[in-house]
Amino acid sequence: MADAVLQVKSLVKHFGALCATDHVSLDVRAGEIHALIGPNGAGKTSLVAQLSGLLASDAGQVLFLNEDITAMSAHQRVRRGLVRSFQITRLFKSFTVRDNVALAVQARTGNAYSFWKPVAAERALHDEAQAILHDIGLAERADELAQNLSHGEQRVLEVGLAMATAPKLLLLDEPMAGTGPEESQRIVDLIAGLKNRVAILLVEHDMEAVFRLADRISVLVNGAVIACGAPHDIRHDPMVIAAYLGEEQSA
Amino acid sequence: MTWILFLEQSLNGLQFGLMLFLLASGLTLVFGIMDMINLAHGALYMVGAFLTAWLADMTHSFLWGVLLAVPLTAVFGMVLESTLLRSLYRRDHMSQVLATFALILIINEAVRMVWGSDLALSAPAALSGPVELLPGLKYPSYRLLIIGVGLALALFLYLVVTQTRMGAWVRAGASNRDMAMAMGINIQRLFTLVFGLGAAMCAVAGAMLGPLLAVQVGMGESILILAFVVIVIGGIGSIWGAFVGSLLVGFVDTFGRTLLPHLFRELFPPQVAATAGPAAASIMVYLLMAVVLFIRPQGLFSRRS
Amino acid sequence: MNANPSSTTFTKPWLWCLLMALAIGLGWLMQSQGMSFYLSMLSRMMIYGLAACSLNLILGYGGLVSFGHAAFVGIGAYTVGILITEGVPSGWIGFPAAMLVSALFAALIGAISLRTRGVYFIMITLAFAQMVYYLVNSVKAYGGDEGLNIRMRSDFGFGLNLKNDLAFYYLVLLCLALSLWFMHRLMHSRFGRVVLAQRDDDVRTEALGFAVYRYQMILFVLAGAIGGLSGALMVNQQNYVNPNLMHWTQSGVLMVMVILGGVGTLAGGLWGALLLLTLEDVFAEYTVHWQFYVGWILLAVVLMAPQGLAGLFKRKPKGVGHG
Repeated sequence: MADAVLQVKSLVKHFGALCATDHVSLDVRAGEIHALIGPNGAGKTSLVAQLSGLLASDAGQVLFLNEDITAMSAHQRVRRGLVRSFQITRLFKSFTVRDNVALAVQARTGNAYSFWKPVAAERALHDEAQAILHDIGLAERADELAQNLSHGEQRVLEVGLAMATAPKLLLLDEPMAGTGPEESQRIVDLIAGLKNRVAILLVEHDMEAVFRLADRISVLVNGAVIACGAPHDIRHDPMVIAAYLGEEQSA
Repeated sequence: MTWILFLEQSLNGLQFGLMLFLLASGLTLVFGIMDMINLAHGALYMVGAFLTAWLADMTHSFLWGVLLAVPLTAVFGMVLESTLLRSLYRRDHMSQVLATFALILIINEAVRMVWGSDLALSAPAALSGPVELLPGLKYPSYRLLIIGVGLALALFLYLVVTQTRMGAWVRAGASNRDMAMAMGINIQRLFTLVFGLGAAMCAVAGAMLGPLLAVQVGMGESILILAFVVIVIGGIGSIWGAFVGSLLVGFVDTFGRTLLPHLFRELFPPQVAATAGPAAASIMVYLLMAVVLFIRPQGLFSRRS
Repeated sequence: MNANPSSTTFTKPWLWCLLMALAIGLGWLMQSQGMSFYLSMLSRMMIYGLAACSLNLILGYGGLVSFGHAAFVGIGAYTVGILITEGVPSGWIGFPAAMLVSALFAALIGAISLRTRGVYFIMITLAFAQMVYYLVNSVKAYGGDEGLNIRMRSDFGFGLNLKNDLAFYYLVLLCLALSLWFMHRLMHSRFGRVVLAQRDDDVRTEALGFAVYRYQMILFVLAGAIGGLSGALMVNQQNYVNPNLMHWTQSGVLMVMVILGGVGTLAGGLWGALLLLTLEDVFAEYTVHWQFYVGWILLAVVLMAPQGLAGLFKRKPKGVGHG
């Protein structure tokens, strides 16, 4: 049985009277793609924020590679290999595509505070960045400013940036948000290619992609996990259908 | 410190705080609704003071000076807003800083060219004497007038904001401008009016404080800082926050200036006290702001979404 | 494929060398023509330029709008002024001390201020600067609100007499050149990349594993130190320092210089200072109300040239940073 890379134990978060995260427990195993689905307002965003370290939980525990990271800041989690991508694209708009990726590579290699040597001279850094761009299919756009990319290309880069940090677990927050069918397919292929190499917690609305990619699916409704299992079981779980899939299928 | 002194200083704090409120309320709305840094807000205060002094001199009546200066300043403010400031709303904060800083230079010098560096303004003769509020507590009647005017205007503002439709629009705009616009509120026109009202309040403050603080070019800059401190403490966009913040700053500043040097003289040797006392008094307000921001970074009553 | 994959606008080193040579030659020329008044004027402009460039480090590159930067300039000036008054005229002690003390204050102010964002950051930096202003204002031993006069300029030994306008001009030029070169190297380094990244998106930068707060702190301290250096030069240039140097309106002036010259460019502060001070001097010749005219010009610049001077002369930037 594969070891759990990420273990979430009874996480709780309140916003005033609203319970956004209601004793959520789940785990992500090495190499698996674990999808998290749920209707709008289910609390996916807050959960992702808590797991990535941007929001402090009220109670509960988060273990990453058997280490308690509950109190750790965002950048400390990233250093340990827990990396997220954002639902609303966050790129370095004034940087080129290659420089975006190079920065991610820079974060995990070499001297963090080097202030004298010009970065432009670091061949290894830029070669690695270029290689990553090749992997995600953006190699020809390397010299373009990130802000000039199409929305779909930006979403690809968004995921690529997270991948470039060489994570042990990727927390993908609706990577296909706002993409057309062609770009969605591209991202699905990208994620599929990561299976067995990186553990992935995938938060998505795109059901087709979820059922294609996921090894396991957890369903979040009103802040609580109401079901967790293989895609086939989830698809036919009456509770899930009632709470969520029913709306999706009619939509 | 005796009770009398305490009460007297409290009244001074209230008086100063209320005048600060007149400036801060306009400033917080400008910032809250239009997200604009307006460094020239203090210039309106100065213009109001100069106009009052000039008109009071011409009409030989303090009252007429004020009554004429206030609407004139309001008009000046509205013209400024609809011509220049409007083009700055969409710009970044840096551009706003540069433009309004330039405005300060222009307005300061323009005032100096028209009236010179300062003008005399004295309180109405009828109010030059003290009033005995309590046995042993004599308080200048002019300062009582300021408190009265300040409270009246605060009440007026409260009524406008809470009871009128325009007030509801203002509150909507302050918490979410785009939403307000989507709801069909003519933000531009509303805003010109709000700005005019803010300018009028500045003018009143300038007129009232003129006899106490001296009407001179540059008077706007020193009080502007305090107004910004007030709205940061109170929460940007919140008039109630501006009110509470103003009173807080008014009291802290007044008591700081009277109590602290006294305290320092008790505790420290004279050379230290002579230096440290006034220094500590001046920075009290800024310490207050730092503390508030530390505890509640968005200000006490922030309404921004 | 481009062998130099960096997306930064390539700085033409030969252009800077040319400018430097011109500046050196100009100084010598002015001295020999007996125009040392203009030498002193140029020195003053360059000193303000250095101060503005140091502000640009955190403002333009860091994206941190600090409204209290004049405090560091003033602290540097007072450090040197006080040392000279107390009988320590050596520039070798004074100048590093000025930078160190400014850096310390920057560390203190930054530690607290950098925990806030947006307009609150602006306000709190402003507040701290005002605190420093009032503190210095109340220290009667060193002049209080009347300011501090110093009887002599810093002494660097080796027969270097800073009273000589040309010598002082070259010192200022040297400090300016070294500082700009340092800032150039800094912004093109790994550290600089992170700074520019957090300006674009600090959350994403943090999400890549960078401790953004630490980078901001270091940048803030460096900017403060260079500000202190400009202060040390300033007190020497005027043989005088006054608490007004630290008033928030002075921070505003520095900011205006930066904006005028081009936010986020290496020498934007310098060009802005040169332009603003030249405008002031020119108008002051004709009218005592020169601020009025300068104000209108500033207004025109803001409304018509959103990128400042540098924006007028440069092509659309190709990528990270400028110059």
